[in-house]
Amino acid sequence: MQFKFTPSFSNIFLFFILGIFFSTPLLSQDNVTLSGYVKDASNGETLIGATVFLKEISKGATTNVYGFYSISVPGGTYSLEASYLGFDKLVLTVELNGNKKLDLEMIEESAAIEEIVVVAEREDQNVTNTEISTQKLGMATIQKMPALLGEVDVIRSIQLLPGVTTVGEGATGFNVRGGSIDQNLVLLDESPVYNSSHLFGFFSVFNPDAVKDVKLYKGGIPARYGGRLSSILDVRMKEGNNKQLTVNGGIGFIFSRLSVEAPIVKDKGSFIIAGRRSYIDVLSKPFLNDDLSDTALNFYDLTLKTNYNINARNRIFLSGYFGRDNFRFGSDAGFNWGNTTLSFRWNHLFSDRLFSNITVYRSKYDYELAFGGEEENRFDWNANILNYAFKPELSFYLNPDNLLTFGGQSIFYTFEPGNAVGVSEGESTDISLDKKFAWENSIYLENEQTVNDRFSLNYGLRFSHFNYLGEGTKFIFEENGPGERKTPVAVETFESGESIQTYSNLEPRLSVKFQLDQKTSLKLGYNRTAQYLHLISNSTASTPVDVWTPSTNNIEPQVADQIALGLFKNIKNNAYETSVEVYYKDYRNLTEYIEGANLFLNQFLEGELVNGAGRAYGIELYAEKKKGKFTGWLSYTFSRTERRVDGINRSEWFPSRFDQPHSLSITGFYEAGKRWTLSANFVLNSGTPATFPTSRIEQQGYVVPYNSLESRNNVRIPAYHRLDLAATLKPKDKPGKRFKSEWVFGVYNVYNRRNPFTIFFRQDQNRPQVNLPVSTEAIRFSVVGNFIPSVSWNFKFNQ
Amino acid sequence: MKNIAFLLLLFSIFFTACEDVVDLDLEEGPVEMVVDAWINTDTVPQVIKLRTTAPYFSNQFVPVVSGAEITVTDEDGRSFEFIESDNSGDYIWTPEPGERFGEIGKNYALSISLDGKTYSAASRLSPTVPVDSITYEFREESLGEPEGYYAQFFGRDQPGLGDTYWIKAYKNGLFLNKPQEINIAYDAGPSAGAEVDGLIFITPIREAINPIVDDDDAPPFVLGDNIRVEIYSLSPEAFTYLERARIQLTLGDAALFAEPPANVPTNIFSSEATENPQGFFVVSDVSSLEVTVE
Repeated sequence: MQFKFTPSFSNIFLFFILGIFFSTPLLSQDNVTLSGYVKDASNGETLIGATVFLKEISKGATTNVYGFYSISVPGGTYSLEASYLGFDKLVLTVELNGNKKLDLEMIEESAAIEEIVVVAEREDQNVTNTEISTQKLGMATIQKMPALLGEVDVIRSIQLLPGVTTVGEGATGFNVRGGSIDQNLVLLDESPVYNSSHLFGFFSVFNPDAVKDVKLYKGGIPARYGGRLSSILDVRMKEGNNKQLTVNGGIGFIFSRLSVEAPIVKDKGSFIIAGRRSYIDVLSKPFLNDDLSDTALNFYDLTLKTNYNINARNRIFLSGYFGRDNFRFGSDAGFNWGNTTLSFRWNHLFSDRLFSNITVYRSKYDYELAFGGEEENRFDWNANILNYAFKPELSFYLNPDNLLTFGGQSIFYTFEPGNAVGVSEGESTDISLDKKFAWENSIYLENEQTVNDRFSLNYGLRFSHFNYLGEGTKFIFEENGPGERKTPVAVETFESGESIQTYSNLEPRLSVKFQLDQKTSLKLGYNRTAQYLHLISNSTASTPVDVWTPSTNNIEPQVADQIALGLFKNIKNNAYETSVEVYYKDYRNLTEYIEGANLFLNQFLEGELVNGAGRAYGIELYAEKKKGKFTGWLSYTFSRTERRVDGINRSEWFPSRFDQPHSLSITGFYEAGKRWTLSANFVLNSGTPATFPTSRIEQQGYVVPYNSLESRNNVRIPAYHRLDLAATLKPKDKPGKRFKSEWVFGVYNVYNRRNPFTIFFRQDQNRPQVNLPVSTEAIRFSVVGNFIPSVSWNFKFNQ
Repeated sequence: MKNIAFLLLLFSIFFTACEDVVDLDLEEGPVEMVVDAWINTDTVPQVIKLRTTAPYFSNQFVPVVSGAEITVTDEDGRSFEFIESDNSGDYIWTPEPGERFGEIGKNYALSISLDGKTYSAASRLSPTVPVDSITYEFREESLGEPEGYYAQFFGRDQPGLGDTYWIKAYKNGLFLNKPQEINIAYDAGPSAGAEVDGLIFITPIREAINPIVDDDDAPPFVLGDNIRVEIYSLSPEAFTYLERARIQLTLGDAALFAEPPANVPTNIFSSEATENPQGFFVVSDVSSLEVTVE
């Protein structure tokens, strides 16, 4: 359902706002507000999602992404409990005579204390909050998991969660509940990251030393998030230790890392600066000759963040990421790509109950290719996407039962889909494509409401509007039948700032929790999402040269509806978390491609694209053991994801390239004594679909594969399974030691399985002989063909 | 693109990527007629081959189709009969001395009659451009390429958008017939959509007349080798056919980033709605030049 911007919309919105105010009892005059921040006592980092609970009235609040909480209650004396996973519960008595500011500092739980004190009770957030289809991964957990070549990686770790798949080992990005990789909004401190990988997809751009918190929304996406169809990966960076200087670092097979964090003014402001660089160029040296002194093969990133508490009401943050993959072969050819993001945020408290944040960000992804070192014969090609955005948000803590969030976002995009200059024998041709411009605006309103002890809900509405702007050219195409390239028949040029095409969507969001008993709840989630940007990619794994393109008069925005239902239950005093979720997702206007589409440096690109439909459904079972010497989780997913595109697969539904009906993953950790931590992953997935030919066609001496049934993805390649192990060794802990280090030993793909990435077909590699028939073969291609051992060393220094 | 291939090779070593030949049972589909009709204006006999599809792994000569009558007719009604030789499925038109097939700019219709059924196709004969020169140079070993002589040819695309060519190269009379050696040009560049009209063919096309370097690491050319280059004009549809055939034939070269496998579109039509004939008909103009490495 798409709406033109008509007066009826504002009526709906007004009605919605009024609805919230009239449905909730207004604040009584006697109430007072307790508010503040919850922080880690050791380094001053604010804690996201910590619970502050007042026992007497059984009301609580959860800290937001900036660690802020606010709760309005009648005056009196309360026992307050603050809890956060992995930290000791904080219990204190507060006397509330008037509005009070209270910053809480929590202490990380230590093994010694754990044995004596019964741990905090509010660890049942997964059951009691309204969030469905949401997964939070602590950095501590990610860091303990076995990793490819010992490199701790956020994106490879979330691929082990239910509902998340990938087209294969080494492929960039991830697929959530049937969505393609461009349907994930990857946010680093509120700024989108357009390409989240290094080295084509083997590693992600997030430096584990700089990341504080990772949260993935697969469904029940709150109204405050928008712009992508399938998921939100919200990565929050550390603020930097504001108590003392801390240096973290490590040496691994791929990267060496170093991060420094320190207070600028103690307890007021701090910074973190973290960098990584790869060694691949060192390892590749033996392959290169002396004449290739110009050769470069490396990737690196730099992450920095600083924050300052101006006063109790104002705090500012500045975060930046800069990363690059850089390949150069002699003076002949080069290829490099990378992201830069910069975000500035200002937290302002209008009152103890009205929290605001304004984010201004800039994000850019670009790449550059060059062939031919000579002035007379060369080809230079670059492309980029750049945006600037302004994003204000207000959170109003109306009363303990209602948290109202409203805000908006305005993003201005510039696309340079390809600047290319070819020089052939001194004659130069510029084959650059025109820049494109777009302006995306959205506003939203969301309320997190507790109706009673059993029933709470989060409902919201997002209105998004997209304006494809001049200066630009509008191409009008003529259809040539299903699956055929469209022919450009007319062009219209537009001045700078003129609207070429606009779209808008109303995106309702809802999640509901109904508590069945203290440890069991039933949740429902619904969201509609709209996406106006499209990553143009027709290859199995996306490549760094794939370009982002806006919706135009020919490319409609993609829209999806998802409904999910889940049962959440914790057992044995929250030692075990379990959940079952089912979902159904309906996709419309998916960006698909005609067969043989020509996607690069093509000004008539829109003629190569077609609209597809998609559907995905599944059931996800999840069980996690959170306490004890042995922890870990087990997840099993049955899911299907299908596409329908005119002209492909006889225009019938076919499985998408990442459709994996069965997916099992087991991750376990074992504390073996004081010094050793052991961990293991096991994954077992159905093989991905592939298209196999039936027949051969001989043409001009070549044997061309042919599928006489015109099928797409008609066969499934063998199942994928893999076991990884890791062991972390910590030296003896001496109290007061400033320098701590650990060794991590790992083996990836322990039992040496050659998991197929794909199976392809080809003529055998010999030169065909004129008087002999050409023989053909099927090849199983595995990205990892052996077990891969690794050793890395990490250290931490506290001043 | 060789550099990209090298890059991928490097990662392959690093990540211990591997390729194994596997045995598979494939689905079988209906057998279809295959027409292999790429004829040109050269003075030699012109051959049209009729075959059928065969199971992909059959690994023997595909079945021939005998007993058909084949005629190619130009827009003025002049027709050329292709006569089958010895039930071979090869149908041949032999020019008189000095005669050439076809006239530049004319449209040609292929008509095949077999057992009361008709197969047809059409093609326009576009002009080609001359091979202006072939040069070669000696290069030291570099970036995984062995030392030896490396050649390039020069030629200039004719003015006007959408001229398409197939550049065939021969080493000592032997056609370089590996799928990776299919060298086609859209104007002076490798594909449509980029405006490189009327230029000298760009470097990657000029250099793609070298045999690809095999595992045996033999140099492309050595002293005394004969290098022959032919430029065939193509219809835009024939260009698409070769472009997409090359993609399908080389899907494994960068398997991580392969496009989805898909059938290559034909321009052959059958009078029978139940049939799905395959293959291609095109009439090309041709130019050539050869040199010896000295």
